[in-house]
Amino acid sequence: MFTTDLLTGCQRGDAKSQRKLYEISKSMVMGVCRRYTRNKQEAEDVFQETFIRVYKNVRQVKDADHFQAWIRRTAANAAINYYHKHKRHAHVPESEGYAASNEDHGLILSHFTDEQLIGLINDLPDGYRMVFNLYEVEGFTHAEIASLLNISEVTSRTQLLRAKTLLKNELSKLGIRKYEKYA
Amino acid sequence: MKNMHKEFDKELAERLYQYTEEPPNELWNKIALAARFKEKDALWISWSNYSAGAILFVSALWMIYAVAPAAERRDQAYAMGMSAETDQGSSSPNAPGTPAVHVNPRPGSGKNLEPPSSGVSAATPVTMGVERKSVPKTAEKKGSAARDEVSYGSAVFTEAPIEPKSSSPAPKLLVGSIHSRLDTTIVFMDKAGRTVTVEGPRKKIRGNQFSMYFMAMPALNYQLLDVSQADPIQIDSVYGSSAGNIGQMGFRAELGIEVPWTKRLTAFAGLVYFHRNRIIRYTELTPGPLQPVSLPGGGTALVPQITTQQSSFQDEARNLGIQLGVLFKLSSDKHRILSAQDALNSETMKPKKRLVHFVGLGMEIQKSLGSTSSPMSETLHRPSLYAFTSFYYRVQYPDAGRLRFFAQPMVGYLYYASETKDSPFQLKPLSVGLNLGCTYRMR
Repeated sequence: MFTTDLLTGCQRGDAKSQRKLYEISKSMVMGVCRRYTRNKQEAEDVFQETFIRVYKNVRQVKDADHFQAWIRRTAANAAINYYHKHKRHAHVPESEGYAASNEDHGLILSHFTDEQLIGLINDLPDGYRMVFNLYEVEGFTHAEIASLLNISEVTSRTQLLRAKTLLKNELSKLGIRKYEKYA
Repeated sequence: MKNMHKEFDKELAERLYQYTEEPPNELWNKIALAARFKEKDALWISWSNYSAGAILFVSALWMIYAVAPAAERRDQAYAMGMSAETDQGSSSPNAPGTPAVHVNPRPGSGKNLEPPSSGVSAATPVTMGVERKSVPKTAEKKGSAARDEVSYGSAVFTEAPIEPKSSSPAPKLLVGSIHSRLDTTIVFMDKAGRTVTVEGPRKKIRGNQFSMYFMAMPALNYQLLDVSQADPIQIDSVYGSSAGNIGQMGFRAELGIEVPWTKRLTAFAGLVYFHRNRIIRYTELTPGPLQPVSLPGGGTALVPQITTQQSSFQDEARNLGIQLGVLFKLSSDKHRILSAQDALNSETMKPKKRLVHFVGLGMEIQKSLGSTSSPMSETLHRPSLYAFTSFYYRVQYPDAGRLRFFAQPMVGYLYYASETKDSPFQLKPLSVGLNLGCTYRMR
């Protein structure tokens, strides 16, 4: 899919190649954008910015093997940039200390659709969501996240922990009800 | 326990990593506008601007460094004067680089270009300023008799005797012709009443000659769009760009041949390439959620709520075609009949390269080369053939020469377009525009 021909075509500014790249990567990019943003509207903004950056900076890609990863990383960077521009100091709910059993989590996860999971991620506070995505999904270290988000490493760790707690609590709340239906 | 936590995190991360979602279709248009055209097509618009600027800059340089010094040299030449003393033997062929000067002792002769005859007094000086130009050897060889047949471009020699204003015998002009490219021929009477002919370089009218030309011009066109009712997209209104909007400036290039039919009428035919990018903005009507509406007779109906949405797309037109037309010259500065006083006045003798005016009528058939700028533009330019006619007025500078500059307001009428029914927009037939450009003629 992400062939050398496609890469060179985009680097030449060929309109057909650019369109083809859009077609084959739009779902993946939109998926990334949805994870990093609060709602669809924001995701569309980041989505557009991602492709603007991709077309603008595609000459930086040297190897077609890394093309897809580069696009994914570009989307993440666009999301980070969007986060910096639209920082919100949202109220972070205190953890209610809901303790569901670990066995529950495994079952709960399997009963959720991808869209429902994305919905839960979207509901996380902005900072938590960014750290969670960057650490858990993208695989950045806390040092890298601290640098990307202009926060300290300690903050990054704390936010990740809180994000996980919030997420699991929400999953448990929703999932147990759901699980009970299957039980 | 810790491992189970990790398993959970890993599974969650994996599912989130693999998550994909289809974006809305209209996002491509926005991206195409914001990204691709910001880079490539904004580059094109910039290029158009730069080329227009370059044309103006080159024109200005040409005016300053080519036209002005030439005029200055002519002024100097006229100011200094050239003493062309005539005598009995002066009717022999001139040396190259000097104008041919002939003296005819028979004043008032209707044959203005009669060969010079003998009997001219050497004591009668004739002083006038002319541009020194070489006389072709063929003309020299033909001798004076040949000069009767000589045509100077499209010059028309007419007898224009001037009555002296004072008692002193003023030079009497019989023939005056100033060619715009400094091919000068003046025939007049000197104080002794003899006819003096001063000739410039010769030019022949070549019958049925044709020349190739290349024309490049930034084009500001104003062509509105019509909304099609046959397509599924409901468009409320379309906003055309204004004629002066630099963002919709196109580029037109022509390569063809010109064949002069008469002195004023020229036929031309050739290839045309046209490229334009512009942004079309429109208001789209989209059905929203169903709203209950009370009916007059009682009861409720669910009616979709219509919402409007402002949208736009990049419209790219790339056409290649052929054209055929005629060009009629309204005015020319080739011929100037001088008075005798004028003949000795350096300022009025100075040939001027004025603007030349034309009207033209052309018919064109253009084939769309397709558009990849946006899906909407692809649909709009899916028609493969356009046929239209254009009527224009052209102001050109200079009249002659290889490189000529012009401004050309035009009106076009599109009378055929192989439209597809599913296109949301269609081109309206009437368009107006302004072309600024230059023509290079290859003989």
